[in-house]
Amino acid sequence: MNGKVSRRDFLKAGGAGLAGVALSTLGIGTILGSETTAGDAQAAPGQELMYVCPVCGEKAEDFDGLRKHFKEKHPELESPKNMVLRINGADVGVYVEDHWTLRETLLRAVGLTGNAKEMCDRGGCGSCTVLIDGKPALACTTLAVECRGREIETSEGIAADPAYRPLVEAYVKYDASQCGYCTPGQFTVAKYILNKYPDPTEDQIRTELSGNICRCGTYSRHVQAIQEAAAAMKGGKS
Amino acid sequence: MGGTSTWVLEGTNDDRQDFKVVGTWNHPGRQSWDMVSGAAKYPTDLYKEGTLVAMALRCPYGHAKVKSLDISEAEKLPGVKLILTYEDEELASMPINVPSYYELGRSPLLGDEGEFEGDECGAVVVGVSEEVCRKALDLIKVKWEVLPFVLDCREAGKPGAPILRPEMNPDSNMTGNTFGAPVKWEIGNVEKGFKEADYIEVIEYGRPMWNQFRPMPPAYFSYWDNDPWGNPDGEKMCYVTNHAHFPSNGPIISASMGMGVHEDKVRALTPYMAARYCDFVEKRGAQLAPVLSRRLGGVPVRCVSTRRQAFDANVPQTFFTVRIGFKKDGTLVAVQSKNVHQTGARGGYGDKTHGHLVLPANAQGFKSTSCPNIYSEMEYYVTNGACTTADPGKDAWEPVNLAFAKIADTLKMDISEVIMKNVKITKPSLESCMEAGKKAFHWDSKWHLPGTKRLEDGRFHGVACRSCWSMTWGMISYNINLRMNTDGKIYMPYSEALIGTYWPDAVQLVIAEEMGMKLEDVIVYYAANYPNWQKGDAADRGSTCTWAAKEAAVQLKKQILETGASLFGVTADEVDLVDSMITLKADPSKQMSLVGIGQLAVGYCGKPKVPFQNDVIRTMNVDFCEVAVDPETGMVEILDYCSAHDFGKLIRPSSGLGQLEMALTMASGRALREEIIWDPNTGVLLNGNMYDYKVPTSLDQPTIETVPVETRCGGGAYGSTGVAHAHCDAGLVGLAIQNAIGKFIPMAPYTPDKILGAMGTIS
Repeated sequence: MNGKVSRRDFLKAGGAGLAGVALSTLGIGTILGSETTAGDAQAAPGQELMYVCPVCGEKAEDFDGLRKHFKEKHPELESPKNMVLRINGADVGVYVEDHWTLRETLLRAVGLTGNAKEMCDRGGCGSCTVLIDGKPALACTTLAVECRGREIETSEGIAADPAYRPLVEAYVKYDASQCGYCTPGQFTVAKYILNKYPDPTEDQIRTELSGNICRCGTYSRHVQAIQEAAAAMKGGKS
Repeated sequence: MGGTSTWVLEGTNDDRQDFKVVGTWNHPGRQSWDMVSGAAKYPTDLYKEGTLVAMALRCPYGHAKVKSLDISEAEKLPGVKLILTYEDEELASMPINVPSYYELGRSPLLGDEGEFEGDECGAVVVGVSEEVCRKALDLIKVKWEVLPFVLDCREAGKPGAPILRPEMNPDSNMTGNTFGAPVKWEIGNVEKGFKEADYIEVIEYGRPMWNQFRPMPPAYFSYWDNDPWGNPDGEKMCYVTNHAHFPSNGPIISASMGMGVHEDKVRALTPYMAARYCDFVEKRGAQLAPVLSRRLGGVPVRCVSTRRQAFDANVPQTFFTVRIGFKKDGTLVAVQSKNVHQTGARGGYGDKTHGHLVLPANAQGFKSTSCPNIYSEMEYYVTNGACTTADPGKDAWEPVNLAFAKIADTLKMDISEVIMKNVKITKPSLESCMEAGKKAFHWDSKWHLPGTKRLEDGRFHGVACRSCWSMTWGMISYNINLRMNTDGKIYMPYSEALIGTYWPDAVQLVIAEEMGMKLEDVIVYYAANYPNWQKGDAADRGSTCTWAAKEAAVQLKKQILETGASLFGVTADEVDLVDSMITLKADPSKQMSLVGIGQLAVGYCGKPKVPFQNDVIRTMNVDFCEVAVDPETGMVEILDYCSAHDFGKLIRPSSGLGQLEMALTMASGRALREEIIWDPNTGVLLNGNMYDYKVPTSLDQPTIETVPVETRCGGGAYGSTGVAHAHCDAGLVGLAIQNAIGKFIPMAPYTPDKILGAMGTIS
């Protein structure tokens, strides 16, 4: 296994920064390097989106400002709600509407898009799988308001966790991504599999991943990667 | 046995034998970490402050025309920012040009006619959210004129069929739903061939429309903003997302042509676009998103398609009837093929009403056999139902392999012997693949006469094999620029959207190999708008771009050695590049780093002299399949797939073999269940979702054994060649089913009803 995964490999323009909301615990800081590096590298789309009026697009300084804006400019509409979501170990205050799914919230208010992928419209593909209290859940069919007080884990957070570095390395080693669109969802389930089965069999892995569709047919690569990561995480090969 | 390929390797170092990195494993791709962690941004992930959503009105009928539209109530809905109808002057004038290969052909960008259920027509709404857009669309009052529709291309060709596109051939006396006369050609004398035949049989092969199922539904995202280096010409820059791999930067071409601006004013936003499998149909959102954004002052606009709406471009129907004549020894002597092909609602692939047919299924595959007498006739008809895409498989070989199976069945021969007897060129490639594949698959112990073997559980057992070209798309030149920077690294920019073939990473291996650089000192990086002309990421062109990269690498190495030699005070012949260091050959302990010796650069644009498509039989492959068929339920289980593929030279094994796994997994879905189904009474799509259109899951994926063969006979670097296109076909499973139950099933997919019908269990 090539262990030379440099920070530079993670310094990609595509990586979302989320300055100001506990970067390192969310996983973004570790993925992108230091918080300073992330902030220097690009704008922080999550922060930009957090207090933007969804009706007229006007930006507020903070949540109270957004609420005030609603009362003044859109008195006929219900004022927005703020809530705290615990994502990748960090408490994140986000603007959210009652009908927003967790997927929409991750995309529009948080800026973590790994598990905000939409393939199917209706809970049929697994691309948006997150872990809620350690178990796989579909972010597209879970309302954000249901997640209050619950631990949400996304692919970004798992990838940033040093304990799961062997899983990341095994995934990139075996090209477990082809086009990559479904990969964060599969990778998230992979953590669940490793927690559930210390030494997972191929049947166990395929069964647990059966809700995650990959049109590129990378399934066998996930089996290889998860089994190798399991061995490495038990103190075996690395 | 057939003839021997006389191909001679061309280009610098194509006969290289010593490889340090090419052909080795464990080289994660440049984008791999981002794809795994979720840091990679796909078009659906892009969301900027003030992003608006655009959704089009969709035709609810199989074919209909807008008689009137009333958008007044929709415009009053809070959150609605803009509604444009087909009467809008700018939209009515688009596309200004006809970008070949794109859906945006001569049909108006937003017309008043819905050519199939789900077709975008009439109006497009821009609002603050999908919810607002949906409500607004519901508030638009539409009066539709429902028109007759045809879903089956065979019906569209019959006299009296509804004329769907009367403008296509107004002065012709041909059947109205075609745009040209049947394509006919003949080699030899077919009637004479049939007279010489000992046996004459007829084979039937059909496939329905099916969906490639691109993982990411189209989500064109666009905004206008300042040029990063100012606005030298006073115009803002249009930023767009990329959804097309062939040519890449499709939206750039579509958007610039549609709006009449130059390509340098349009910039791609992300290299990620999720997969396309030879589906180069561009959606209308590619042009709508930038236009709508411009109308609204440049704010970000996302054109949203739902998964169901993404079923609006599918692989077309095709139907073959082929009469074959053959000798007692299994030699094919006459082929008479008739093929009826679907061109989709727009005519041709995508929207090309001028009738540009790409990769049509006809009798082309038979040209690669030694049969001296072939007649082919292909008709093609417009239907309603959807636009059409190219086929990610190699359907021209489906009737060929079916003919081989028919010969084998008639004469009670082993089909592998029939293949070797009839393919024109068998050495070295086909012979090597057949030998390696049969051994890996244990063919000799598994093959039996049709309908003669049951498993212990009572199911019928069957096996089959089929041959095909390993494709190399030699029509494309690649523009490779290489630069040695002052940091001593070698840089290669690319602009193509990535679909999962890891071609930049394969190119990185070739450059490192040729130059004598450490792999980590070769940097391939995404550079938006950089023209790797011909643009595009595709499984089979990857080998061609490695060839161009090799030629460029050789040129740059020459420059570096000349520079290094002068610094050493020797001639260029006396130094070499070893592990990124200029090294004195006479004394390898004397080395010089590339860091700081200057900047050097080369550009190479070209392609290997490999013939295109139908004559590429130098590199072949053989797939094997084993099935179990339940006689009570008709259920088919694929027990084993084995693919012996001649890669020519396998440059990056992980992704090369991954392409085989991808294609065969997709093939298994095609074979067993994937089919687009419309209501014949209304023309409405019935299975446009992931529950009713079921693609293979991790539990459905068959066991796939990959057997790489390397003959160095391809057109890419070191004789490499393409992969995926050759394997994504349904027919092999059908042949294995025939070996199991003794009956040919003429129409894919091979669903239980057809199995039981063939066995006589049901009518």
